[in-house]
Amino acid sequence: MIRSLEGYWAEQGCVLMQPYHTELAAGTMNPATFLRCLGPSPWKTAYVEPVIRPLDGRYGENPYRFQHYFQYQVILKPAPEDVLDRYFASLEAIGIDLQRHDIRLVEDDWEQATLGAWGLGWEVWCDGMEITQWTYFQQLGGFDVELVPAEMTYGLERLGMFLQGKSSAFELEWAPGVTWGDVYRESEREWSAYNFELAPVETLSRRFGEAEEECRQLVERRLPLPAYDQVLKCSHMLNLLDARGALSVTERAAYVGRVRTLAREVARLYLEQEGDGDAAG
Amino acid sequence: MATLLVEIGCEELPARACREAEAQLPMLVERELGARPDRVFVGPRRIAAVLLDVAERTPDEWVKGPPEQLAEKAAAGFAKRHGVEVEALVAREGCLGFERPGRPLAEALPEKADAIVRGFAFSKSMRWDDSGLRFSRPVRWTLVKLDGETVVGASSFGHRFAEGAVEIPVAGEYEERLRSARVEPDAEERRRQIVSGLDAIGGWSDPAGVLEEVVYLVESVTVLEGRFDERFLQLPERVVVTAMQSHQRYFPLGGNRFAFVANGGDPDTVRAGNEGVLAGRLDDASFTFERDVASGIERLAERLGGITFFAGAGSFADKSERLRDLVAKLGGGEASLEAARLAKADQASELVREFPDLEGHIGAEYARLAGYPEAVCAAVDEQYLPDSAGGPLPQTEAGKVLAAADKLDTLSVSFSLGHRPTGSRDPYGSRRAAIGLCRLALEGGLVIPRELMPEDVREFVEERLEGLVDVPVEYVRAARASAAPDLASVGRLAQTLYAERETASFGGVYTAYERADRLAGRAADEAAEQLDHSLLREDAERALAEGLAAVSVDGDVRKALESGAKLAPLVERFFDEVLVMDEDLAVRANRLRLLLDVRDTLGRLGDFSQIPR
Repeated sequence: MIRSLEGYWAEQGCVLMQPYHTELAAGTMNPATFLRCLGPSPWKTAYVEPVIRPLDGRYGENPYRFQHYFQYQVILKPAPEDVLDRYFASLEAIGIDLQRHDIRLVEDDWEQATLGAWGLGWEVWCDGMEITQWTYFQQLGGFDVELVPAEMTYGLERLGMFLQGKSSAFELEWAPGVTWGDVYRESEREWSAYNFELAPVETLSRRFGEAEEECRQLVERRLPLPAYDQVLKCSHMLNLLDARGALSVTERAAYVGRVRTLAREVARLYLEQEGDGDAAG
Repeated sequence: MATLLVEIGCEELPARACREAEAQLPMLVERELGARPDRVFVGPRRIAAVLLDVAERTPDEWVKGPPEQLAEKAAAGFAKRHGVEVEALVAREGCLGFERPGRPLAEALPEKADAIVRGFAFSKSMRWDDSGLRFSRPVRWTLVKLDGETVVGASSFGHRFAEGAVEIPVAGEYEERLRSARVEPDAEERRRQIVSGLDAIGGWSDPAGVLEEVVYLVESVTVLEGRFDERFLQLPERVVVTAMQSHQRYFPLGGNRFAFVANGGDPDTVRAGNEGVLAGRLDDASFTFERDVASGIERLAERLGGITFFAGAGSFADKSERLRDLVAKLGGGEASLEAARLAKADQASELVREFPDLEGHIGAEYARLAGYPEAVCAAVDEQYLPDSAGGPLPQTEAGKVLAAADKLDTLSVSFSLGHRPTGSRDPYGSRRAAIGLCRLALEGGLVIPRELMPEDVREFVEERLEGLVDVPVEYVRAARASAAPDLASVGRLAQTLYAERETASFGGVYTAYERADRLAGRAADEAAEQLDHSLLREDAERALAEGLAAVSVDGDVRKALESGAKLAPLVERFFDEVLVMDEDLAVRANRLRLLLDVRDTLGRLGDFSQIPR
């Protein structure tokens, strides 16, 4: 399935990227999406992203909730006029017969407060199952996008379950004779224990502060890419603190605001440098 | 005359945008084409209007220019700007101008269609390319046909997956051509098909009202029936219904059956897929439910100390303490006290995190599973009622008491933190809570002492009475100033005063109050602290003081009015025979005090100065 998606989107001219090297709560947070979708340069990419959502872990006991799973992320910037048709063709490429199934686009507006980002789009239903989150970005880091990108985020486990007719992700055949559960169940159990019970609250809030400070310094040194990594680290610390139940609603909002401020600073710097590059070129 | 079709083809519009488009399209068409459309078609992929008899030329148009007296300065510029000769300008009603002849409609249509597209104002809109156009979702085609002539675009499009481009040979055949391409363009007809499909299955319900959305989620209607495993019936019914309705837009059929509307596909495949999805959701909910039940409501309640109610207002454990206190003050019995302790326990449950709208119901279910008496469980269940202006009230006594306590607490806390509603912003639902309190008192018969509310909350809540008690607001305002001890008595007092307004006793009280207030109200600072009987010199004032002592205005309002009215002749005699502004200041102060006592005693029945005569 992943190979079919890679093949299809490569043919569409996408740069096939690899997963990013730090914890992300969504493929959108990968700099190949967040930063590349800012500014005036066209960009097409597709990649698998393992996403880490500490709060969603269920100790490997619930077959629908995991703190670690996979997204397939596609960005077409700017969105071509036939972007939906291209997306539907990708479903055919992984073996979904569009005539036999009931494919629906159901309103779902996307917003990510920590990144100061929002867009309008849909959840794509296949016979009632959400298989893709589909968004036309409107703002990132608080800035209006110059070329409107289309983002398609496929939920790989869901899609796999659908294609294989499995009712549990653990039973998903991940490779011949090997299930998803064989590979990830124990990791779900251990990470849930860490996320919910053991992650050190004091240390996490200290690390958050350190990453925040480092981000500021890197912004001053005009290095948006390393600075952005620190934004990602802050975001992950925040999610861990949240999973530990260490944050009241107001505290959480304050942390979200701090990450958003950083994301905005980095986006501003990235845009300035993009602008400089254009001027120089 | 000709038939005109204007079709705007979109990527899938949200239901709300469809309804907005439906409302705006007729006005936009009228503005651009001078006539309302005969038919309007709105669906997820298209917004279309058909006009059956349009003139094939646009009307002549008077283009108004500068006033005649400015002709020398401005005429040439005006003429040039509009591409006409200065000599062609004529005067009409004091201004220069010219008659621009109409032109063939087909020639004007591209810009008019464009103006219609640009005229929509959606509550949420987006950009998708560099055209600068904003719309609810991207516009992908426009088709304008004047009879058989294609003025803009090329073709329409049928069902997204089953059909492709559709030729519309003449505007008048739009509907039938789309129908043969598996698109039902008429929203009303889709609604009818969905309802008749559901009726054919029978026993359907739609408590969350998803029908109005489903009408705009499909272009082609297929109503299908599905089932889920009976083991999920162990879940609270509301959880099952919410999973079906709010997530999947299904219609519950009772038991383990549900109906849903598909836009296409092979029925068996689509049914199996949807059954699988619902089973997954219910399985997930069961998993959460079983974990909560394993914890039990007692342990959930113990965790409330760690959950913030809202910033500055402590935890849910603090809230529960305050609820018990309020319930006691409201005279609640054992069941309501116990319910107050358990009321917020479900805030610590995982199921409420998944289904926030089911707070209260889930707690009630957990209390039942823990074996609590039904009176306790029902009260927990009903604590958020009434949850809308006309919504049902709690049915049980304990439920009424708990519901009132919850609202009193939320209002007091949010007001004390400065979260008063402003304009249309009411993030803490204060208006709803206040109306709920009034209705619990008026319709629910619950005694809600006014002293339980801080003054600003009391004012706010009692202002809502003005809209709920069916008498002129002056009577409610009068009653609000009375000594009525609880909310319902304020309402009843207002009604009685209004009903009695023509009676002699009302008139007596009114006059006595008014005369006493008019004279003494203004000189209140000169009045003595207390009435001194030894200073009463005249018979008339002694009679009034004695009469006043005999008046009883508490209890039944009619009797109170009769009793109060006895003062009227005494007040009249007092004013005839006694000079209030005596030279002896002590006597004067004492007489003022007597009049103020008359006013304030009668004033326990209300502030009669609010009522115009």
